[in-house]
This record gives sequence, structure tokens and C-alpha cells, in this order.
Amino acid sequence: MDFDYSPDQLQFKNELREFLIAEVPEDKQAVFGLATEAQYRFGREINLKLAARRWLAVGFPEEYGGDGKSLIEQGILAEELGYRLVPEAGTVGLNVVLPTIMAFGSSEQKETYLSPIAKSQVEYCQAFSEPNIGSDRAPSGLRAERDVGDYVLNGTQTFTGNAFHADYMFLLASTESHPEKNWGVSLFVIDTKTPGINLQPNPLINGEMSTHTSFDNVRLPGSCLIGVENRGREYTMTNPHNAISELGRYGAVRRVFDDFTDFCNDSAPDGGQPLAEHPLVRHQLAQRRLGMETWKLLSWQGVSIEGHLSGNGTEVAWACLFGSQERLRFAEMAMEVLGPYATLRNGSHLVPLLGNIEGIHRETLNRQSSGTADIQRDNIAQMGLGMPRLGY
Amino acid sequence: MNFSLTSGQEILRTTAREFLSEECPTSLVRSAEESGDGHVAELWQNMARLGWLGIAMPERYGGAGRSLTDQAVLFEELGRALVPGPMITSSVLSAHIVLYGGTEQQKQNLLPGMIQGNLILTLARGERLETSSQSGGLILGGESSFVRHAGIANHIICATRPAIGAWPDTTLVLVDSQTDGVIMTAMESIANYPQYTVEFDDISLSNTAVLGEIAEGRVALEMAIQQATVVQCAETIGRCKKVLEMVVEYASSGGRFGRGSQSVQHRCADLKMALEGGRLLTYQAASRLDQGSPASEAIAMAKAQSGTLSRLATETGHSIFGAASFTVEHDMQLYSARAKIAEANLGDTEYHLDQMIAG
Repeated sequence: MDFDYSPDQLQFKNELREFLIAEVPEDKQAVFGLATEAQYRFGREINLKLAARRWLAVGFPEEYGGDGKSLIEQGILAEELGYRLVPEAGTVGLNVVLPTIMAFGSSEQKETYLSPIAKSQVEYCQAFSEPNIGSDRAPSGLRAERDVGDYVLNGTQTFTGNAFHADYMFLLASTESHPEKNWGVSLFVIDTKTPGINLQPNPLINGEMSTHTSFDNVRLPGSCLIGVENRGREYTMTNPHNAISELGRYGAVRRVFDDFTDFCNDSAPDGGQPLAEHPLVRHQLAQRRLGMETWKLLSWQGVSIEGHLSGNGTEVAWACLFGSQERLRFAEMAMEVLGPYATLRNGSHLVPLLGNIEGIHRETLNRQSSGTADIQRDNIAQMGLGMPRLGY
Repeated sequence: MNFSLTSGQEILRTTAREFLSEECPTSLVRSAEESGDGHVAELWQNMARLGWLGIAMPERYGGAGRSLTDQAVLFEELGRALVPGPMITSSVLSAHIVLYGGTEQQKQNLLPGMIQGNLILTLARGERLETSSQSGGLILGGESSFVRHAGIANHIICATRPAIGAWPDTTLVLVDSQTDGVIMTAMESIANYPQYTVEFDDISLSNTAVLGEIAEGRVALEMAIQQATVVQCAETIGRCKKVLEMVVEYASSGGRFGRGSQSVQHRCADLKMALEGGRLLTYQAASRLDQGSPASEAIAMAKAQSGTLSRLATETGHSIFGAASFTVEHDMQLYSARAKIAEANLGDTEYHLDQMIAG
């Protein structure tokens, strides 16, 4: 086992860190729970600069605009972007669309779609969710029916994050001819301006805008299908880059945890001893430090194992499940230490840590990353441990 | 960055698992528990023949010269099978104290015999052990508790503090356990785990009883404790893995939970996640030590999590197996009792959380 970066990887991490420290001033950094249009645009700007150095898709082949390195470098990028609080932009393209088309797309699709993502020229959204349907279940309200060489889409999707910014949509729709079968779901890539797509705003509590998306006789050419019919769910659930997305989430929370630790070392609210020297605070900081380390290792394991193609597919679920719990525990612990100051929002009088603690409280309510915690548990038990699939 | 085992480690794991499934069934674990000394001589000799007692000891003393990571792989299997006997105490902790702290002559005298299964060593620590010098030698006095496997140990390594006004730091002294004035009292423990209070009644020793040099034992002791702590974590991982296997099998095979229960599955998933986190923390610590990198924090994190993991495995097992697991005949209780010994050994969760911050 090897828990260290290679010298080249370490050098990449250091160069990246220096670049981001220089390019991302504090007033442009992402704040938890506060997604603004200005931040999004700034995130796109940084992505363009990263792409110019071939760093954005560093782990992908040079012919598609990457730098021909490994998943490890892609993970380093995600963790570092998170840790430097670079506002999120382009992540669906980078962590979902690019690896999926690399793995399952036709050579024509690779030619068409990959380079623009690596060069940060396009934005994607993903439409994987329907109202009242868990992310491990087939959609039933959106159907794609064959019409000669085309597909015709009818139905609805919801929680389509970032759709107003997106040029393209990565979409799951039901194509199974026997609708009672659960897994007849296919994956498509479509232009968001295709006639018949209607976006209705569905604001999220962190300031992001998602949409209810309806499809009214939306006609797509057959070339928009990724891979083969009815295997879309499998393609999206086994995406190794889900672990890379988790490293990004880890990096950002870890940064706030480190800032919080510094805050506890520096602050002596009653003019007495610093917070961090209070035995209860010390104990809590140690426990969360341990949790953060575990989260990091589990996320890297997802990347490392997938890189060696030997995992059973649930490594990523361990990381996502752990992460969803750990950031909640951190938020709760920070509130125990800060009391009512933990409720103050960014910009408020006397707000500690730029309001990130308040923001994390809202962000932790979004526990659906790659499926809710309970869906992760189902996957770990049923796919990982071989327990029976339950008929609920 | 590669978290996979090497093929050599995979072979070691498979070999160990196959051997132990034959040679160390839970019936043997139970008879060792009932025997009082917690030891099975035949199994011990077989493990010596396989080279396990010196797996991470240098080849010049008869060891296999393998890494601590390899040793951790082996100890996962030993934990899984609840192997009785002084593996951690003698072949890891004491052996490393001798390796790091002893003179060349002492290593030659002790390590080959230990590795071949002929000598068993243990460690006595504590604030109440003192040495002082007398003409031509030393006097050892005081007592130490929780001395593991002292009843079968040939030698006891005493980590002593000096009598006031003498030399400045820890001195390691090797005492034959049969020496007059060594008085052992068994501490009756969970799972009949063999632990003793050992009293040293002002025993006169020659200067050659000092391991290494007077007042220079601290570093060797601390380094050996680091190795043993990682190995103890690996043993816990193995034990918890087996608990999860037992529970998954039980909960998936019909019976009480019929065609499956989501609440049971979620408990299993949570244990699996904690187990994998613990495994990575443990191997990270092993890897740091193997590389000679700073490892204190990694070790403290691994051991702190190990205690939490042990508790989770115990709670998960007993809640899923239900009342049956409260009976003597059920194997689950064997795992739970030993979990408590491991949790308290070499610093518990709270101790190591504190070490993390101190480091």
C-alpha cells in the first residue's frame, strides 16, 4: 500500500496550490450556503485558466484536451479546488459527462463532446431525478420512445441543478419496453435549447437555482444515446469520478474545519484561555480531525481502487456515506462551540468564519450527493455485502 | 497512492486464513479461555514453524524480515480467528523492545529463541517500578499491573523509573520470571484474559540485566509500543470483519429476518463503512512506520478509531443476533469480550484522541 503522492504528483499539487492562492483572493472564494451568480462566473474564469494549462482535465488523454495523467491527478485537482474554496462551475461536465463518455461513448461522441469540456467551453447540467423517486430507482415520468432513428422525450424531471447555465443536459430517461421492469433507463446527452424543453425555476436553500424540467415531444437523433439502451443507470452509478466529486466536497469542508481549528486556537472569548484549550473543545476537535482523516482516506480509496479497476463498486458509497455524516457532525460541533454565533450569515455583524458555519448547516441538509445516505446504505449492504435486495 | 494489497500480502492472507480455519476453530479458543493461561502450546509451535512469530524481525535473528504492513495483514487474520496466546505481547511488543533497545548479545540471546517459539517475553510497566544501583549491580523493586501473559513468560522486561536522585530516564531491565522475589497474582479478567499483577521484592540483579544502557530505554520502548499499537489495530480490524461476516450471513439466510430487513442492512452498511475507514487508518500508520516517516499522529488516529469500531461491531452483532448472542455457546460473545481487552490495551480511544492534539 502506498499512501503518498509520487514526486510528480506532489509537484503538481504544489504548483496548483500556488496558482490557486494567487488567483483566488478571499473575497472571491466560495462561501458555504451562498451560491451567487458572481461566484459562478468567477469559477468559470478560473476553469478557463486551468484549462489553458491542461490542468482542468489533467487526468484525461491529451487528444481530448487533458494532460494524459491519471485519476490521482484529477483527484488532487478536485481536493485542491475544494480546499481553496474555488466557486464550483463545470463540475458536471468534468466529473460526470467526460468520464462517462470516455468509458461508454462512441468515437464520434468523444470527438464531439470531450474537448469542449476539457477546455471549459461548455457547461452541463444533469437531469437524473424525478419527483418522489429515489436516485436508485428508474424514472417513470420521463419516457424516451423510439421513432424511426430518433427518440421522442415526454415527461418531467426535477432538481436539475444549474440548468439555466447549461449548454447541454446529461439525462436519464426510461426506455424499457416493459415499464414494470426497474432498470430500463438510458443515458442521453442533449442540447438544452432543443425545442420542447421547458425550465421552471426551483430555487435551492443555498442560493443555487435548480429547475423543474418538462419535456414536450422533444425529438433527439439516435446519436444522442450514450452506450446502449437500458444501461444508463449502471453507467452513472459506477462512474469512478463520483469519488473525485467526493474529494472536492471533502476539500471544501476540510478547509472550513482547518479555519475553525485556527479560530479555536486564536479566540479567547472571555479574555481567558483560548477555546481550543478547553478540554471539551479539544476533545471535539480531535474527534472531528479523526473524522476528516477518515473521510479523506475513504474518498481517496474510491479513486485509488477505481484507478486499479479492482473495486466492487461500493467503495465510493462508503466515502459518500461517511462524508454526508461527517460534515453534519462538524457543523453540529461548531455550533456547540460557537453557540448562537453559528447562526449568523455571511455579511452579518459579528459573524465568525465568514458565515461558513451557518452555511454548512444548510449545505448539510443536502444529503443526496450520489444518492441519499440511506440509498448509499442500501447499496453497500446489497451490492457490497451481498445481502438480499428488498422489495420496497 | 495505491491502497491495494500486494500479491505477496494476498498470499499471506490466504495462507493464514486457511491455516487458522483448520488449526484455530472457536472450540480451541474456548478451551484456551478455560485453561487459565490463555495459551495453546501446539498452535504456538505451528505458528513459529510458519515464521509468524518473527515475521517482521530481521533475518539475521531468524525472522522473515517482512514489513510492518505485512505483519498487519497477518494480524488481521489472527484477530479474525481470535488466536489465543501472547502474539502481540511477546512477538511484537517485547521483541521490538529487545530489537530497538538491546545490545547485540542480548538480541542474539533472546530473539532467535522467541522467534522459534521457545521463549516467551512480556512487559511490565508502571509508575511503581523502580531501579536503583547497588555495588556491582541493581536493585529492582515495586509492582506492575496488567502484565499480560506473565504466567507463561520466561522473561519479564521491566520498564522502570529510577529511584529519586539516581539516573534521569527509563531503564529497561530483563528479569527471569522464575527469580526469587518475583511474585505474581492473577487479575481475573474478561474472557479469562491472562493478566497479572507482578511484584518485584527488591531483587538484586547484575548490570547485564539492563537492556541496552541504563536510563536509555525510553526510545526503544516508545518505538516498540508504536509497532504494537498498529498491530493491535490490525487485529481489531480482523475481529470486526469476522463479526460483520457472521452478521451478514445470519441476516441474509432467512430465519428471523425473513427475506431481509432494511434496518439490519443499514446497521451492516454502517459497520462496513467504519471498518473500511479503520482499515485505511491502520494501514496508513503501518505504511508511515515502514517508510520511517513521522507516524505518531497516524498511529493515534488509527487506535482512537479502533476503539470506536470495536464498540460498533459489538453493538451491531448483539443487536442483530439478539438473545442468542448472550448465551455462552454463541461465538459472538467471544468476539465482544476480546474487543474490550483490545480497546483498553496500549491506550484507549480517549487517550489517543488526546495524543492526536498533543502531537
